[in-house]
Amino acid sequence: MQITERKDNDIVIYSIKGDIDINSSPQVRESFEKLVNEKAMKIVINLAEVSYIDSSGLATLVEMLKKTRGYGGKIRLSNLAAKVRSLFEITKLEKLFDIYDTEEQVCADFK
Amino acid sequence: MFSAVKINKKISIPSSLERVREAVDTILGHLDKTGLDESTTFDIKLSLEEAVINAMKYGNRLKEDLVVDIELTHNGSKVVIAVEDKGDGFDHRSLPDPTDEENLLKTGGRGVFLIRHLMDRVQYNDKGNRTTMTKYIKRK
Repeated sequence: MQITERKDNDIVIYSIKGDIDINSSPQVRESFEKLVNEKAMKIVINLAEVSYIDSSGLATLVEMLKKTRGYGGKIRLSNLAAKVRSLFEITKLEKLFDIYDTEEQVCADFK
Repeated sequence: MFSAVKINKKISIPSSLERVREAVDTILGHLDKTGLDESTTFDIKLSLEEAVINAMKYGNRLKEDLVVDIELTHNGSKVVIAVEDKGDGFDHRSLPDPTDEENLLKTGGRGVFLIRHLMDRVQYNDKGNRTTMTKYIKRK
């Protein structure tokens, strides 16, 4: 599991590489705490290199969304693999998250 | 090519979340050469992982001396995986629907729901401590 962070003006882009499961979810949560503490307002999570996510991974993303919403920030997802996206459809989490096909689309929309 | 392979394997693992991946990889390893497509493998992997985690956490209360038994059978047309814990069982009918509007923001409760959606058939024994999941293999 690798998490890289970069900025595009006021947008923070998180790229996650690897499975998000019960073992790696704590690392995602911990890494994200920093953004919450900084009260980042515009966050993109690029999941292009995530081919597997389980219910604890989904729960971690929901937790991140709640925390971000708590201070008025926005979190958006991009580049989901087909199977990962299907989990958001099955669980109806697509109603909670703004999901974009590409990182460029999210960033353009944020600006 | 559709494989007519027959597999019957049983493994038992201690109830430690650090052992989940090892258990899932062992079972998937047995299925490795059966020609399952990526999507089917994803569904089986996720369902198995969710079932094992539930068995460890809610069945065996993460007591490492209590094992989770996993039984895999594959007869060429279907993969059947049974996961059993030593707990008192649970009532699968009493679980809230995680897709209900009021539950969407909850962080738990999606594991069993995902299993039901990703597998073709899910059965529970009367006690509620054994989940049997079936995936039918589509012929190419």
